[in-house]
Amino acid sequence: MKRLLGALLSLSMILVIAGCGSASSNPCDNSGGKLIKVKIASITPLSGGQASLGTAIANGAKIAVLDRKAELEKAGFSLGCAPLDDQADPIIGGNMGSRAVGDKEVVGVVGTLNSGVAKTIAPLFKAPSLVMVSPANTAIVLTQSGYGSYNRIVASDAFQGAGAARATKDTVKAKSVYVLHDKTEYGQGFAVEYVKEAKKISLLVANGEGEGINPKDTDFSALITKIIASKADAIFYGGIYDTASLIFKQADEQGYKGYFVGGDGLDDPTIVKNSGNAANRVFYTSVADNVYGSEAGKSFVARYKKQNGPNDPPTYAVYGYDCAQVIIEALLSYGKQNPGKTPTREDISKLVRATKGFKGLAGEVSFDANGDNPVAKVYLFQVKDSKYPGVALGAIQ
Amino acid sequence: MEEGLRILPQILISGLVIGFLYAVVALGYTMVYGVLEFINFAHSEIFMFGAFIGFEVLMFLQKTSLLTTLPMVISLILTMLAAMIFSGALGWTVERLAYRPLRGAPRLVPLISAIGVSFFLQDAARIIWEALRGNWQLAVPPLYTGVLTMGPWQVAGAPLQLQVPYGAIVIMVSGLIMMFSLIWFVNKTKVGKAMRAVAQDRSTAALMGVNVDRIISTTFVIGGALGGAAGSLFAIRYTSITPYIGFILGVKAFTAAVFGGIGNLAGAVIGGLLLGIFEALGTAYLGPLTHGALKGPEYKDIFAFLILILVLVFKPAGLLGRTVGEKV
Repeated sequence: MKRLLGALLSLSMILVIAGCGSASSNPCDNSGGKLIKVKIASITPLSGGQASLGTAIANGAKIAVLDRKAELEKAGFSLGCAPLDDQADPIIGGNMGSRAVGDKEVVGVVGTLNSGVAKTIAPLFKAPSLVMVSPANTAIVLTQSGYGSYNRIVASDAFQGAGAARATKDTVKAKSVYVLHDKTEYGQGFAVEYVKEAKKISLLVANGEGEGINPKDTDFSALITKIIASKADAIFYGGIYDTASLIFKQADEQGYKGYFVGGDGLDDPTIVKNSGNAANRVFYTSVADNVYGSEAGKSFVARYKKQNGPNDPPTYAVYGYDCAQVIIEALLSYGKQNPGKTPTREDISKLVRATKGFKGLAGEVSFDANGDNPVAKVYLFQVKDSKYPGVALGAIQ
Repeated sequence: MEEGLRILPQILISGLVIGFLYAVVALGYTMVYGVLEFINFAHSEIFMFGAFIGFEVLMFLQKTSLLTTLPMVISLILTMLAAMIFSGALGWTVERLAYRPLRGAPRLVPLISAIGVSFFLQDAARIIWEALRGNWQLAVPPLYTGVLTMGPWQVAGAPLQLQVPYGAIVIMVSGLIMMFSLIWFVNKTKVGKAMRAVAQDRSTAALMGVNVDRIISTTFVIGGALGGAAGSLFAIRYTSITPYIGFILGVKAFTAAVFGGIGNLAGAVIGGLLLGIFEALGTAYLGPLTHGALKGPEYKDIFAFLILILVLVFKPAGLLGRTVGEKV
């Protein structure tokens, strides 16, 4: 009896797992044909609390591959993609990085979403010179560590944190702000830059250098009582939308009347969905402009929805798309100079780093000697009428 | 400091609310420990499943628009009841499949089995809700969302106002009802007496005609149901759930059980409430008391656990625990 039960249980488990596995088919596999087989991998969170952003990036990259399939085939390449799931975890991300290195067809990687994850992956890619182009990493240190093959198309925290602080003073019109962060590479780094700039422009930080919270906590009511007592006009949160929406919602419930400010970590529909009445007092900066208003943007959204279902993509989808485009451009220019030859990873890495003035859907991309994009901009958004994305208030100087 | 004292009542309420959650979950740990002298680490996942079942019930009520037409308290009872039945059944199943076959084995073996079950349930929830809803971080439909404002009263020349979310009141009231019914059940009913007998001496209880296996199963069902109820309350109050919400809450609740004296029901309740209050106090006052050297929200757990360690150094059996000799 006991054995029978055990056997039944394991059988049902296998069925459940098998059932989940067979559901997806890869729309961009590169098998068949006599062309040179290459792949662009993406490393982002595809499951978990940050899956919404991560999936958008991976899907955006996929659209780029599909868009340029014909052109690449003419140049002799059969390009596939390999979406890998880092679960927003540096350790799992490291494993995924090794997997990308191990797959000889991978010539470039789009990712990661989280700076903390990039920090474990970028060193792995240094020796094999596997190029990585991030649509979202903002930690300053990433381009200052000599990883060689690491690039990002967005502005760093130094720029964004300072911009968010100026926006808090000039646009939100707050005189004092309570600074919180989630103690991660991204959240804390952002908050440090924010506080630095706030001091320069004499925006009062109500709690000194800011305070870290545990992003896995769920009850912030004691903290909020303290914030209300501090009479801060705004709460700044350096971190990701899942915890942010919990804090904002609970603050509103406890009668906090001020504004909420954050960085690109809040740039996701969840911030509107889960923040309740607080949503309409949220300002966030993002390294991603809302590009869906333009003609090219609308056409992108249409292609995206055709591939991935009816939901509007978060703006990061376009950034994933642009990152993949930068790698594709490098592939094409290699194919033009060396027809019929298989590129090494180093070749592609060098060509990506040499990118100058590439007109992406989200903005211009050039890389300096460190892999930073000096022409990247930071934009300010405000949520209105509980709708995502927020209303764009323009680029921050 | 005057300003600090002014927020004290509000801080205490925050601590009590999270404390009640810890307490209800801690009861599940402490009951199983009392009977089997074994820590059921899967209890935090049974709590988590309660939250997900509560979510599904609320989604159903929202879809059929019963959520707006039914009186709120009926929706609440339906949600909690479904979560309690499911989690109770889950508790029973876990005991039957993962613990009972190991009952004669050395102490560490069922412990490892419990940790295994815990991981299994986390991933099971991840797979199930990924398939059902396409995502496993879920926003729970609103129930009891408003805030009760009390006051303002004139205290020391300035107005004092208290804000208590209805969700928090629901947690406190249901927590109290569950605790008192459990304590009544264990102390006043026949099954409760049998439970205490099994806890005291399993083989003698068996000789006296107590069906030990059935009593142990009952313990797991009740413990699981309490965990499930706590899970659904958590879902209603915090409105955002993932398969991993059980972990931190489970660790804290387990600590509360040890703090109060593991195996002692009243101890679990007191331990839970105190732990919640210490955390809230730590968040609010650690900064001002150390002149900003220690930041409250960052160090509140360390502060709370430091107090626990201090208590355990002087009272190793916990606040209400008694040192029991090795059972022969």
